[in-house]
Amino acid sequence: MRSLSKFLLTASLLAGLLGARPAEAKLRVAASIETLADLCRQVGGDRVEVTALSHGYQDPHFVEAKPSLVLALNRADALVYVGLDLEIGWLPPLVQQSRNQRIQRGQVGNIDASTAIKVEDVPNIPADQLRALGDIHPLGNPHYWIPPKSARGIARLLAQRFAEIDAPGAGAYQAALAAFEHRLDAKEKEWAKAAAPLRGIKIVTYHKSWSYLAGWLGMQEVGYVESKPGIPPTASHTGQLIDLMRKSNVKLVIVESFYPANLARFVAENGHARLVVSPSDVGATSAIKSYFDLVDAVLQALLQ
Amino acid sequence: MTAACFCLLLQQIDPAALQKAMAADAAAKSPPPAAAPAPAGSPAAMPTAPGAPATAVPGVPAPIDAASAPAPIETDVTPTPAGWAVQEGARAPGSSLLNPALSFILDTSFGYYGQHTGQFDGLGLRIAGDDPSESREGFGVQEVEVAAQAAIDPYLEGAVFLTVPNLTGLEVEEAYLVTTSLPFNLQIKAGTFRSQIGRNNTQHLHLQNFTRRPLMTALLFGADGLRGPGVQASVLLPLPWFATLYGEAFSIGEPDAGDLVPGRETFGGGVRLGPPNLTYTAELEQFWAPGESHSIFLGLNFATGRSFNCLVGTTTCLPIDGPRSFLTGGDLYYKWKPPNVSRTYLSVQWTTEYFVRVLADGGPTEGAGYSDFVLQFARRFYFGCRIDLVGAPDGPSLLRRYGYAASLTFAPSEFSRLRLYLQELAGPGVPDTTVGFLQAEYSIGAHGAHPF
Repeated sequence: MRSLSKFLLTASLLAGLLGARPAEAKLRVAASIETLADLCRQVGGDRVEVTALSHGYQDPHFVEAKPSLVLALNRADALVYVGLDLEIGWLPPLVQQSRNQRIQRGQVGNIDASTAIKVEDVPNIPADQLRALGDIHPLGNPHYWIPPKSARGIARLLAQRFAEIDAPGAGAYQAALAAFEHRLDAKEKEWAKAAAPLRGIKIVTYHKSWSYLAGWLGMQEVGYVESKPGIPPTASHTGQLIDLMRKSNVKLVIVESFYPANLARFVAENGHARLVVSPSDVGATSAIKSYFDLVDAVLQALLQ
Repeated sequence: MTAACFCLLLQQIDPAALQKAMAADAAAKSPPPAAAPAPAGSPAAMPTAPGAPATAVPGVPAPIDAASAPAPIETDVTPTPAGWAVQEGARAPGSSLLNPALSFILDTSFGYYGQHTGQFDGLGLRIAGDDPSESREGFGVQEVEVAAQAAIDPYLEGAVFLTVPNLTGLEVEEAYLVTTSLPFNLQIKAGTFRSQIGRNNTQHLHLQNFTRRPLMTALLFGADGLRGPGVQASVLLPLPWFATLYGEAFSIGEPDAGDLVPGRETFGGGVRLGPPNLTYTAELEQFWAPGESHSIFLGLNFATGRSFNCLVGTTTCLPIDGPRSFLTGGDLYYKWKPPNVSRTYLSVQWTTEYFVRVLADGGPTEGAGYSDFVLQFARRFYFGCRIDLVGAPDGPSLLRRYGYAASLTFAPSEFSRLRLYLQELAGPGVPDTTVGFLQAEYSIGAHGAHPF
């Protein structure tokens, strides 16, 4: 066993040497969703080459673990992912198949973006009862990347990690981060002003994926179209939700653009609310090319 | 459902329109603009139906007082349904440090093997180790699997899969370590594990789209498939597309006493020790994605080992140094699945495998294969059909047989499935046999995701 350990240690050192990046090469980053990919570009600028493993018009819970993604991960210097088990159904086997030590857990190139935010909705019920609540995320709600506070935290984490991996670029990453935060500060004020009419309004969402946004904008979540996360609604749940909406004066029913909207539309119309089919990730439409575009588009959809 | 309809009517909600919207979502076809199903000019809220307090709705928190003050922007207090709480940095309740991801999977079934109950082997076919047992027709527990998976250290990951097939005893289906950080895109797997050969052979029972495995698997790879103690080395080839080359060596023992049936086994002959008697395999797996919705996975496979012969007419089988067997074949998997479910939940999978076995010293050349097609036609429904062809070419151990199977699967969630399975078996000189099972499957605990 000792000789096996020695062999593995030697092999991993060799791998480290072989995997060392030439000074002039770009930092190759794989990001699990397009919003994270854009934040990588915002912070990394010309020093990074970013590949998004999924598209903004896909449900990030259910991305096909295609072997072609293994190639991107095999070559990556860093992997950035949402975490909190959002990608549990597809990313772990890809990382294992990648044969890339640089992005394994515990390495500086394994960047769990959720470590940069304040996690909400951690279920505090016994573990053996969790699945009775549906397909929930036991580590907390992973749909956190839209509010500026989250983007700021993620960008800072990325700048720090990129500098650790690519020390000569530390100054450039700090400068890009400062520029990003400067723009974000200005946009945040603009967004807050524009979103003022949304404060205090009651909303129903399809999946429990708008809680962080609701927290940021001061909207109040009243219910969800899904009976339970990941479980299609029943007729009785829908009826009771509509009844509750009528009594509570719910204004908006929000559904991500990648979910089928028929039932959400039905709920909205019967609950006397407006249906908002909103993007939730960069790339949800071809016009949403950056994080700033995404928040602009979400607010535009909410304020229509 | 009747009660639900009554409640809906009390609320002046059209149940038919609701059903239509739900069905449209399940099938996930974007509606035409005119399809908005809400009755125009719905009156104001009706009183809540008796016995249906709104606060009791799962996933729906208590109504919030309309007069309450609006929350300020940047608030950290978000109304959350009961059972949820904001806990920064909290660990999932009940999780224990250093425990592996642990899961249990149950496959239970109810059904029969038709007119050949207890004599299934007489058809020239075999029951795979994780098929429903022929001796436990009616209600049966097809398999219980216990899986534990974890990182061992910074260099290795480990997994153990224990199974109890048909309530007959504990088996180690797989127990292995796999490296994560070798140079040159290498990876080593060691322990006891399923060979990478073919597609079906690599998969556990709960990944099957049918209640029974393809007829080919038990006949050519062994009752439990080609698996055993061994070592595997693989390399991700430096090509523009995904291509991985595997090489494996196994010590395949003779079949378990319970699995002995007259006929030739491809592997398991000879003594287990010594390189001349090991089983060796080589596989090349390649993948292409011509467009977002299309995936093509092609495997080219080769294996060689000592064959094992249980002579027809004998009551006991002795490990005989059978001639070396050579198994060659290919597997092709095509999947069409659009990435955006708001357009459609439709998906299609098509799998085909074919293998030929050749025995040294002029032994017969025999072949078998299957082709299956699985259609996901709604969010939670799958229809599958499979054609099995055995004995092409035929030989003393692979008689010409045909299998026609169909399955209908309902998956209430990611963690449970109900399946209706029917199979018709036929061949020259044997009467047609119908096999039918109703299968239920569930998974509890944290079970790792599977490769494509």
